[in-house]
Amino acid sequence: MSVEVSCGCGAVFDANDRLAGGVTNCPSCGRAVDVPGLRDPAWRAIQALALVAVAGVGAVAYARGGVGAAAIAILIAGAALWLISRAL
Amino acid sequence: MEFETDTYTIRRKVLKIFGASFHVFDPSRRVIGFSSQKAFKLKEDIRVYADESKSKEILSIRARHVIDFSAAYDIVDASEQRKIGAARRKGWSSLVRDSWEILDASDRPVAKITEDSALKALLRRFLSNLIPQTFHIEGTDGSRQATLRVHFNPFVYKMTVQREPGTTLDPRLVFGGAVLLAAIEQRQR
Repeated sequence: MSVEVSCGCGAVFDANDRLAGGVTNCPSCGRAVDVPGLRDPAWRAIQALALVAVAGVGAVAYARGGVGAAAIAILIAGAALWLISRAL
Repeated sequence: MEFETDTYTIRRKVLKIFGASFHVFDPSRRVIGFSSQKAFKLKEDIRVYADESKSKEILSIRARHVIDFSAAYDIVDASEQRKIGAARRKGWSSLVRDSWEILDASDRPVAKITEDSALKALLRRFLSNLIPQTFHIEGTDGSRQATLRVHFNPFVYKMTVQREPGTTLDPRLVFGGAVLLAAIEQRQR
């Protein structure tokens, strides 16, 4: 299997999936370019857990304050998750 | 380049609460490298700079995956913006004795890093680092390329890297391997 990689020089090439998530050299310009990650199981598990946590926060807020509270809680928890994922 | 010197010492602060930082000194105690790692970073990304001002990046070492039993780290020469190789931890072997493979830019093995002896490695695991680690870097033909010796010091982690004269292995890969050992292996203890 291979992963499609796009370099800043405009070249598009296939890299071995072993390199997914890592770095390879562009065959055209020779510069290091990031290889897109495949389905990283650990990362997927963390994403799933985060979604479950947001849903849990929403459920607790709904039980205590109704639909409005749940919507606000989900919005805040989702925004916090998005910010954390950007920082990582 | 800074890391082409034959002997250098990596000194890491043990008592840093969050993250980690280390300095690399040449034999005349001149700083030839500095790295400060962020805490709570999911995917390992080690940047080594020429000095503490962090104005000149010399090497970057990036993990391919968030969590990986046989983790692979790509080593990039920042000044050339070119991948020079990678280091891959041998997961099962490292349970008993730390073992890494050094790969070239095409992921072909060019050398290996191993702890000095299996018996000492086992003793270290039971005696909690009372016996300092020593690693050897050997080429695929078995020739000794470098020796990485950790000093006995409970407060400061110090590793001296001694490259053998006339070796063929890219000194940047030796440097990258030593930095990884200092940053990753030590943290796992």
